[in-house]
Parts: sequence; structure tokens; C-alpha cells
Amino acid sequence: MLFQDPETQLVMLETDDEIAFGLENLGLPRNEMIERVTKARASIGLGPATPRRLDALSGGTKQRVALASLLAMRPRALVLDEPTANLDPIAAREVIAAFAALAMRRERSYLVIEHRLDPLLRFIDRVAVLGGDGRLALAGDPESVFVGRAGELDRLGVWRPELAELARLLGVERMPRDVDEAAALLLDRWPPGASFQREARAPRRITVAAHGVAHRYRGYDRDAVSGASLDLHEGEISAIVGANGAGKSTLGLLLAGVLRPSSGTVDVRDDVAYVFQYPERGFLATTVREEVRYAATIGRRIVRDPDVLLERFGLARLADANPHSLSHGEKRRLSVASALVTSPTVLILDEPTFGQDLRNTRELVTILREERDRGTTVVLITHDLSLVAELADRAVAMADGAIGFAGPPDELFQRSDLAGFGLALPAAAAAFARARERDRAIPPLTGLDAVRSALAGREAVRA
Amino acid sequence: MSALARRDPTVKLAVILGISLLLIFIVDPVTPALFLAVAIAAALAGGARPKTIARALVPLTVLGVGFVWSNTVFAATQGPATWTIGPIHLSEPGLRFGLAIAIRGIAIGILSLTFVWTTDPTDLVVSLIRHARLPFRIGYPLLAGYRFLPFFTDEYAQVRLARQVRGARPRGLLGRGREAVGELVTLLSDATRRATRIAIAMDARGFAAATKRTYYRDARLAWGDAIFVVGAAIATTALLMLSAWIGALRTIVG
Repeated sequence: MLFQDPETQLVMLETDDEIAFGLENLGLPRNEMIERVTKARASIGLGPATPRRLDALSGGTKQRVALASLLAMRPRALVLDEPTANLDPIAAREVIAAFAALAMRRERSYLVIEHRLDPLLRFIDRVAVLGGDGRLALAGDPESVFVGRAGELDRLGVWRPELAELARLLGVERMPRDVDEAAALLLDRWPPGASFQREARAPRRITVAAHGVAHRYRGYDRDAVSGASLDLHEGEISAIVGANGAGKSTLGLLLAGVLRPSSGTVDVRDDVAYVFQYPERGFLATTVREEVRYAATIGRRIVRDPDVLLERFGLARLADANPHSLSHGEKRRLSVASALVTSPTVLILDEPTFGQDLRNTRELVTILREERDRGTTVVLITHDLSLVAELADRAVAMADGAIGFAGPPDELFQRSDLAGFGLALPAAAAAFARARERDRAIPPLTGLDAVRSALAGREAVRA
Repeated sequence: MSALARRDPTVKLAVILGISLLLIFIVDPVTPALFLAVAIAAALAGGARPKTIARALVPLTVLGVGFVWSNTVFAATQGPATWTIGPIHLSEPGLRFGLAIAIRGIAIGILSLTFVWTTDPTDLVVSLIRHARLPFRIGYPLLAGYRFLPFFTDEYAQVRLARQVRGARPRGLLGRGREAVGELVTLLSDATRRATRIAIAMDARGFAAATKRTYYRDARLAWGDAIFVVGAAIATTALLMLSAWIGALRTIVG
């Protein structure tokens, strides 16, 4: 079984020992182990140049090593539990490509537990959907489940592939299995003239202004962030995107005034709340209720009723529980609730959708939109471009500690150097981009929201 | 890989323990100095960089100087002072004894570090399992835990930062104590979750079910290991004889 987090499933210090670990447990003779390790390395494309030490590997490569260590055991069935959830899009692609090469050969059964399905659509033979009660709710081939039972999936709070939803919006029964098929579908069916332009938001008051900021962590020989200039505005959602290690979180902490810039200035005019990627690290109280009220105990003014917030975030029944005992999604909601209690003018969230299901993500999207409409400056640090397409007014893309792009998300999505930021287009946006290469009349839409708006009021063309 | 790095870790560990034990019975400064010189030579031959050795010597020497000073001064309060500089009385036998302890400490320190520098952690664990009867159900989790050490410092920094941002501002000794407990609880709950996941991942690859486990790493003892033991014994005897010959050797017994 392949797990979600590469860090907590690797046991050994070096690559080959890791691959051999399961074989040792099986009690295989040494010469057979050596042979199987070599084969397993080859089957997932680990070349001889791969560093021996695991801690020198990228997240994507670690996950491939974990996969190799399972393959070496020659299992007849393999379970993969959200194998790319903890990776940035480029690393995720690396793992998917390794898996694709295996899955094509159909040498064994694969069971993939996943809610982001687009990259896998080509390989799926059967789908089983679990309901909230842990029982099997739906099962069948992908087309009949994702297209035919769309309504039920929505009710269950289950992610649907973007491509299936795209087909449904175009009024097509057949589901495209990959981006190329989706592009062909668009060329065939996209109603001429249907388009959507995101309305530009009027410029508003600046809440945080950063000028040429740089930060270097102690003991490092290069800047984590350098020469970054950025203004944040009232009532605007900005998304900071980029590969792991590009400096996104450091920039967020600088904007929040948590880290001091080693050069440049950050002008924070109002109070800023920062929600960390791992919310439990900032928990200070022993009950959920105290946690939300914590701001009061350090002399800050509580503006919103904590009980109403708890109710709103579905935490009221857990008010007396210890924050550390909550589920991951609940912890995340608690940390957002305790950030909102003082009604901050700026709210910065680090990877807010990391490991969250559809329902939690939708809830968060609704809450953040409300916050924006109240005039709050919202900053998302993320590599989830579907979220950016849906929610952000502005995208800030980083590479190697510098801001490489700042502007409307639509513009970022059309850039040819997207991979340079460690980013990959979400499936729907990729389909539009591919179709547009062949026919300029297809608009460069970025997400399903835009598609819905473009098609609103039109009868989708039917054959 | 150097000759020293190729030696079996269990054998190497036993040899170094033996020499260290022997040094404890020696109370003159010259003999441990001879061993120290050989230990440094061995570390260099084992591939340790001179800079690394120098950096390790600094704290050991600082500690040693403290020993020398306190012994020299303390002995003078017990017996007759050999030298008097202003108000300070110093004793020559005290200086001698202090030097002996200090150099012995440095020698044992460098010997142990030579072991660390020339031993791969995975080799050590596999060798201890095969040759020193360490149960593999203890050895492997230790190795998995060892991977996490660097994460801990990182995580501690992040926990502190996260708590600061949330407004934890400990005041006074009590507040600081409470803050430390809070940080610890957070770190521990993180570590427990991580350990549980690792354990499940290990079992998913048949660790718990393993009965007759085999090893990918070759941990067989080689002739080189025997030569190493004999060589170390000869070198030790030679150093002791050299020290006795120049009339420096003093042991606890006389």
C-alpha cells in the first residue's frame, strides 16, 4: 500500500535499502533481493544518478521510491492512498507518469484512493464511491458514475473530475478520458462566441505594501525571498503560487509581519491574521471554545461572537473538546475561526485546501468569498490552481524566492513558462488551452466557474 | 571507502570500547597523549577531514582546560603548593593528574568520534542485529527514528513561530515553563502521529509478520575484521610498552 505522505512511509536512510526493506521481511535470499531492487528501480525510472541518500531526494522522487519498494515485493494488488496529495503539481505529475507506465500494463490490480481524478481518468476501469457512513454508495464504470450520477455525487460531497463536469456542461453523455479528448470535444461543441471575462475589481485601499523585501533564514547561504515588491488591497483575494521551496510561505510570513525582512520594507497598516499549513502547531488552549476566544486573553478585541463562529464552522458540538483531538479538517476550520474572531483586515492562509475534501473546500471557498465582500484582504498560499481559478482575483507566482508574475489568474494560466513555477494547468483549463492552439475562437477559460458563466443563458449545442 | 569504514561496526565498536576502558586505568598524561595521536591518525586515515577533527577538538579541549585548572588549584589546597602566583596557589602533582584526565577524555572523545565518522548508521544497525543479538524489532524502528531527528529542530522552530503568531507571550518563570509544556505537547502529538504512520507503513511491508528475516546489506565478518582486532591489540600493547620504556606509564594500581 502506497500512502499519502512520503516522509512517513520511508523507513531507511538510503534508496536501495528502502526498496529492499519489504524483501528482507519476506526472507528472500540476498542475490534475489539485489536482482529485484535493480528491476524495481528500472520499472519506475530511477536512474543510477539518483542520490543514494533518501533525504537528498525531492518529494516526487521519494514517492517513486516508496512505489518501487512495493513493486519489488511483487504484490498481486496494490493500494495507493492519495499518492500525490502532499506534492506540488510538477512532482505529482512525475508520480502519475510513473504510475501510468505501470497501470498501462495491467499486470496486477490497482486500487487508487483519490479525490482529484482528472490525471487518472485514462486508466480507471471501475469506480466505487463511499458515502459519509462508510458504505458503498455508488459503483460502476467511470462514465456512468461521473456523468450519469453527477447529482448524487454532488449530494455526497464527492469531487467529480473536471473533464466529466465539462462534458456535462456541454450536454454530452460521453466523458473525455484525457485533456486531448476534452480539447477535441470543445472544438466540436463549444458554442461560437460563448466567452467569459472576469470583471476587473476596482482598485481599493492598500492594506499591506512590501517594497523590495528579502529574507534569509539563519544558517542558509541564500535568500528564501529576494527583491519582492507587492501591494495587497482591501476586498481582494490574492493567491501566492509556486513550487515547494519557492519561498511562498516565507513571503506570506513577511507580509504578515511575522518575519522581519533582512532588507526592504513591509508596511502593514492594520492587523493581520496568519493561518499556518499545520494549524495544530499554533493551538494554545485546551478546549475548542477557549481556543477561539484566545485573542481576548492576550488583550485583543473580540469583534465577532465566538459562539456564532463555532456554529458557522460546524464546531459548536465540539466546543469542549481538546483542539489536538480534532480531525484534520476540523483543526483547519478551528484555526480559521480563531483567526476571524478579531475581524482582521488581512487574512493569510497557508495551503488552506491541503488534504481537505470537497465539502470542506467548498465551505472554505464560501467563507473566504464572504470575507472578501466584507472588505478583508485575503491571501492564499497554494499550489492548487483549480482553487486559484475559482477564487483568486490576483495571482502571484514565485520561483526561486522571486516574484516572477503578478496579475490576473487568467493571464498566468496562459503563460508558456507555467512549468517554471512548478505549476501545471488544471484539466479543464488545459483542455481549453489545447483547443485554442487549433482554433483561436475557443476562449482561454481557466475553470469550470468560468465555463458555467460563459454558457449561462445559452443552449449548449447539441448534435 | 576507507579501510576503517569497511570494518564491521560491531567489531569496531568493541575495539574502541576496549581501548577506552583500558585508558580509564591510566593516570599519567603521556600515555593517553600517545593514544590520542594514534586516534587522530586513524580518523584521518578513515577519511575524516582535518577541519572536522579540529572542530571536534575545540569543545573537548575547553572541557580539558577546565579539568586541568580545577585540579591544579584544588590539589594545592590539599597538599603543598608548588608555585604561587599572587593569591593563587598551584600544585605540580595536581597539574599532572589534571592533564592526565583531560588528555584521556580528549582521546576517548576522538576515538568515539572516529567511530561515528567512519560508520554508516544502517551498517551499524544491521551489524548489531546480526552480531550483537540486537532484536530487529528494536533496531529498525531506531533507524526510522534516526531519520526524524533533523525534522525535529525544524518542527520546533515552526511550533514556536506558530505559537508566537497566535499571541503566546510567556511572562516570568512560570509563564515560560507553561509555554515550554505547551510546545512539548504540540511536538509530542505531532511525533506520535508520525510514529503511528511509520509503524503502519512498516507493517504494510510485512515487518510485523516477518519471522525469518534476511538482510540486503552484507554484514558478514571478513578476514579484515580479524586482522583489525589483532592489529589494534598489537598497536595498543606497543603504545603501552613505548610509554613504559620512556618511563611515563602510571596506572591506577601503581
